[in-house]
Amino acid sequence: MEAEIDARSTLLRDSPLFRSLEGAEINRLVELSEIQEYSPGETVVVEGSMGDAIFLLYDGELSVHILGTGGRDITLAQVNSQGAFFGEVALADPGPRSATVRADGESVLLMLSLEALEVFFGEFADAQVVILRNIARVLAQRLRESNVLVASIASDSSSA
Amino acid sequence: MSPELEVLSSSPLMHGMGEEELGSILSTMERRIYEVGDRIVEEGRPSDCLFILADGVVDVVKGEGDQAVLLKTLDERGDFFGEMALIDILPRSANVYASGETRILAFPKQVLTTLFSRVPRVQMTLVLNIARNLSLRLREADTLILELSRGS
Repeated sequence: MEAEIDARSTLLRDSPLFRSLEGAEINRLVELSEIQEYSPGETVVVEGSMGDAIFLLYDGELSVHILGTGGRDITLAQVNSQGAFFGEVALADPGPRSATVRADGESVLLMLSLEALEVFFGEFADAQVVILRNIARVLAQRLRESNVLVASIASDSSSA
Repeated sequence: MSPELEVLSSSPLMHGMGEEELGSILSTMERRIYEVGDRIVEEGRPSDCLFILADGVVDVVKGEGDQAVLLKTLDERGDFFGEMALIDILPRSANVYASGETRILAFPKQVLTTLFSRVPRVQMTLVLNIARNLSLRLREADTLILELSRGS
């Protein structure tokens, strides 16, 4: 049990989402977190459903999908490195999930529900802005990458 | 209400901010005027300011010369750019050019940081609005990538 709690706190502490949090804050998040197990083919998050939790990958392999035109399934990304996370947008921007996440292999996730996070922010008010800034940083990084991709595709097609 | 306060309160970046908080943010402002073709933000340079459009039009452009790609045009009062400066310390990710005579409200990061330590709620609201906007733009960018790659 203790080893498992250590593993959870390491997972949280090493995540860019929880960067700069204090030890006591990490410990409380560990208490509020929940371990979830998924079998291959099971969906963790469904595109269009309301986002109500953040997930960190403990072990396993998942993939991110969106519905393309005509219901075509498009795979956007693989989630397979420990500490990888998804669902974090829900915290900054509550609304429908933008993609479906499905387990490809036996997967173990650490889940933090928005409800649990509300409790946490009630106790550690300063942590909220830290986590939001971390999320914004992650989003900014992804946006920078997407913009590089847009620019490279656009300049390829204009020079072709 | 002063014209600048009107610009601020119309900006999505200030959503949820009280009048007193808007006033405190306004006290950190610098007014700037740019002419057609002026570069307001230079890709690769350190990020030190947040900008809100008071009047005019700006183009957000990635790369230069033959490689330049227009990412976005901002033309609404209250539109903002350079906000990533407030959340990371990476260099500017794109160029921003004035495409007409443009009036800008600039907010130096250093002065804003001092304000944040005095009024933490201002930081919380700003960061939340920035995160929301980033998530929206990320969705837009990803849709665009899908469309572009389908077209090619």
